[in-house]
Amino acid sequence: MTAKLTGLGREIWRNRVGYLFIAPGYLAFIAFMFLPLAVAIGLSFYKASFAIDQRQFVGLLQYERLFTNVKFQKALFNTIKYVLVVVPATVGLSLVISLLIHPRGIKAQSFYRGAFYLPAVAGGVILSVVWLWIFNPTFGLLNYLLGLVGIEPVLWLASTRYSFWAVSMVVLTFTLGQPIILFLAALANLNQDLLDASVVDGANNWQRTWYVTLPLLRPVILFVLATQTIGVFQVWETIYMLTEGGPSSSSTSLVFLIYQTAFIASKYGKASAIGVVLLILVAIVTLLQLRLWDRSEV
Amino acid sequence: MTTTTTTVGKSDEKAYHRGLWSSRLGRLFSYLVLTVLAIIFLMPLYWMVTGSFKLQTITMAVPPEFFPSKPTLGNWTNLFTGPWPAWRWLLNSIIVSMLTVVLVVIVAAMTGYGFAKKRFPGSNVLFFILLSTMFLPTQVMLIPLFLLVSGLHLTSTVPGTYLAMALPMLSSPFGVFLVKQFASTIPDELFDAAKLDGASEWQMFTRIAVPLLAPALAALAIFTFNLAWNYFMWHLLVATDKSMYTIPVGVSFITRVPAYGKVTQDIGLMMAGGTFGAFFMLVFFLAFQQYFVKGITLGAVKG
Amino acid sequence: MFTKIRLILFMAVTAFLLAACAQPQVVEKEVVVTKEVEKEVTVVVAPERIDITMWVFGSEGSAKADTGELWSDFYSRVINEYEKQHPGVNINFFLRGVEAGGTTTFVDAAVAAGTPPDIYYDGTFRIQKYAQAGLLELLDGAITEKDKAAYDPGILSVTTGPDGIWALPIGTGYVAYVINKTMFEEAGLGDLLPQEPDRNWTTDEFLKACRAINDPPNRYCTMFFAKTPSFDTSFNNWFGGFPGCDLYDKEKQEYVANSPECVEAMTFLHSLQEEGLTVPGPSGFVDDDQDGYWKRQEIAMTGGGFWYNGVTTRGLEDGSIKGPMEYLLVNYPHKPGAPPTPMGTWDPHAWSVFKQDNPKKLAVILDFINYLQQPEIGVQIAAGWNEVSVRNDALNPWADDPDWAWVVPVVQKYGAKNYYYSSGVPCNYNEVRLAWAEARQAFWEPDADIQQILDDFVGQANGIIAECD
Repeated sequence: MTAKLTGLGREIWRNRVGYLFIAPGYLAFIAFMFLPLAVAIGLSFYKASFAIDQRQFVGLLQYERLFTNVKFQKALFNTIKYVLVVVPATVGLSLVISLLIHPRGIKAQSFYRGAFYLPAVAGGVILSVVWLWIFNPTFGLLNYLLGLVGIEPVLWLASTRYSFWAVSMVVLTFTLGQPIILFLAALANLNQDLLDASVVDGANNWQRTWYVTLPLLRPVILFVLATQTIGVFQVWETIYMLTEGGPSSSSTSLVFLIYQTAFIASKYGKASAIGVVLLILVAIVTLLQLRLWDRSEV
Repeated sequence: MTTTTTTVGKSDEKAYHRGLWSSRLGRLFSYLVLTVLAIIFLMPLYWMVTGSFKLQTITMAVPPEFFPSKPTLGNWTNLFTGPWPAWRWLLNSIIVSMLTVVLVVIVAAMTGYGFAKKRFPGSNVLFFILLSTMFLPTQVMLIPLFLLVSGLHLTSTVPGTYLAMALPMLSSPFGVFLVKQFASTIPDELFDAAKLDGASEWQMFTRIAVPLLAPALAALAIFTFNLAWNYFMWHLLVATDKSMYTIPVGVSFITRVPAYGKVTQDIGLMMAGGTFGAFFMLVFFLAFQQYFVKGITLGAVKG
Repeated sequence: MFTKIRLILFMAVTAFLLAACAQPQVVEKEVVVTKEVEKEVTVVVAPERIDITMWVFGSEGSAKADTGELWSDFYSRVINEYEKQHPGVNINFFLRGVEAGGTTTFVDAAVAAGTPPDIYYDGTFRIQKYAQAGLLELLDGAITEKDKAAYDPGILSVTTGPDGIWALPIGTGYVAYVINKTMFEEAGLGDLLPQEPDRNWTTDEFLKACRAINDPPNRYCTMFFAKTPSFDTSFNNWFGGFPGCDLYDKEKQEYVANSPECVEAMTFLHSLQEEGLTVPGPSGFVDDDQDGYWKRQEIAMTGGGFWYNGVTTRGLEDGSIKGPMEYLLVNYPHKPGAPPTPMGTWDPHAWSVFKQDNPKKLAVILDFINYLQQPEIGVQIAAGWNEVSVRNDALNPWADDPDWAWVVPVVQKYGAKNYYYSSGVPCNYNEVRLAWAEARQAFWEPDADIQQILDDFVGQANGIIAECD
């Protein structure tokens, strides 16, 4: 039987073990990732709803409409804003916290690491439930505490000025845990010789942190940057629970708009088009970050 | 320069390479900063747990009560006797998460091992394609997946719904990546020796690779369990009935639509629901903290 | 070692939780009516078996018909009765609750799967999207001319398209304004309230009462909410006091909410907020938040009255309202010189039927719908959503209730109006409703430019209907 196979077939047959091992995984990827992705891109050229048999091909119409749609523009703008606000804040804050935790003893390390990771474990929905209460303008904890230092009550979720920041704040509480764990692991594995050498050179703690530790952490920082970016692009449940994207779309995001368009307005084609725009946006940002990464490897 | 060396000198021999704020005062200060930050980040959870024991009037009192002076179990009674199957939600979450874990671990183990230990044409390209999906926003695929599970009529039965909730997680490149990284460190000699002893490929996988991969698989399992537990958006779409909600969906239900049960938004109840929803996962985390850490760090670039 | 102990501990906790879960804590809410097979009925020709699936959107348990019977039990009884009369017909009834998202994704999923229910009961604008997709049967055949004549023509026209009736309305609720009478009387301000018998008032009179009772932060005059589209009719009813202000113009088939009259109305509402007469932060509130303020007696009056009579009565019963608290339903204020505000109605609930292949089955379904819409049954079904029947010949189940004794003559005198849409549900209404919620959120910004907000809304909404084709 093998003899009958031609070049490529024979090659595959010879390596069948390898292919068979990856087959279940790859089939799952095809079924639940690649095919849905292809269908989603395809759907974006249709006008479609739950009555999927009645879809109509409309070409690029959905995209044309999107770019004159105010709500979409706001969602696009906000999504970028979330990434630009939450990602640097997460990376910066988690780096500082990690540098503070790292020199402490094992027990303290594990305690603080756990403490900062707990919110992530609880999950965005559960956290949002309690934040809804904390943000309440009349009897919420936050306004009470601010009142103690003489700040007037703030309408956290109800004003276009603050809703974005309120959502960002909640998102930040559960994005922080993972980078801290990564940074601590990286710090524990740092090249001790280089650090020792810097001491000999007379660098103080601050200089050493700035000129030696941070550059050594660069690959991890870039990794965290990449994973956090994709994570923040997908923030959804916090918006769903806290603000529904409002007021006046001030806290909405592309993913939330996809949800609303697909499952409240039942416009599958339009929602898919928004999805494709998100995909392109994420691809651009990821490629930019990969270039940064490449440069750091040099 | 001399001053630095003297400080580094005898008194604090170990501390010099340990990082910022190594002096006693500095240490005190950094503990202070860390503790304050930790309190800020844990405050919501504290507020939620204590809130679940507060009376309705007290949850809305100004100034707020930092510790329930007259603790009540009323919210918890309401949660378990209300018109929603709270225990069933927990059961659903456990089943769905476990099902996801089993599927993901088996598939990731095989695929990761295949990529790490088998050389075959196209393996690099195939692996790269797989890895690149890590950067795909999964919400793009939501509608096709929704149409897929509807078309297969999965959501019309209870086991089908569990399966529908778990299946899309199978396409997580993270697990494959993690296993591959780990499996690459297994020396090839082990497999060569087994081969000489006449072991089949499958035996080499189950008898040699899997035991050695166990720590990585355990970390992956724990980590996936958490991910599956909080895979809210998909569960929300797939659950066609209240009895099929998972815990986060159920909690969002209590929070968002009380009026349909003709009950006014009840903060104590929301907090009891939230605490109930978080409790299992928090215990899980505290029991398996090191696996969470491993799951996160193994999947990352080498530090 | 430690890991092992922890693992065992964790397994124990899990096992315990699983065991706890296995106990049937809460009975499943899906009510499936199983018919006892009637063996005595020996029919000469065995009737063809017809299975009908029926989904009713509503809340379980607590929703009761006015007989005090559980809604689901009432349905079971009616269905059993019908099945007895029609051997071979088997009706599978499901009471479907709202999803956490307030949407009905499970219906979408069923449609996408090609297995929608045969009969579906829900609010008209949620049904409308299925009608718009051409998935529904026309129901003209389900009612006789005599029935048709009994329907409130204003309500029936909402669900009537160019081809016929795509959903058959059963009940609707009135909106009205509700006042905490006790609060006013205790403050000695009772004489500022609208007078019997019509309980109409002007915006000036409203403002006067509002300012007198307002005492923040303990007590606000009123409250608005705008976070979600939920119950937007309680806001839209304000249009009625400013004649000429409409959300949608059925003749022109376009949204017209940026008319000068609407700007005037919204400016008035915005000024209430500016003056501190409302609970701050309306755009972040949902109607459930408002329930809380009302029950804690922190607002003196609010819209959506025919929801709050129920909330108050039940709250006093179950102790969640600390009495005494007497409420008064009144009409929404109208601007000086304008006629009294027509009473607002909310989105009617209606029957709809998904497309059928089998004409015999369709005939049975239409007959069953006809059975359900009979006045004495329809009244009970409407009661499940706190609504009154839309048939004129139906008994008013709340005839002895003073609330309704007031409203019925007022409706006869000044008319009723659905402020969601003048008549007929425009296409893509769910999306427009989202846009309207956004506009309502924008009204509460401190420096809101009302004209601009309304122009933006109209532009968006007309853009959405332009996408209908």
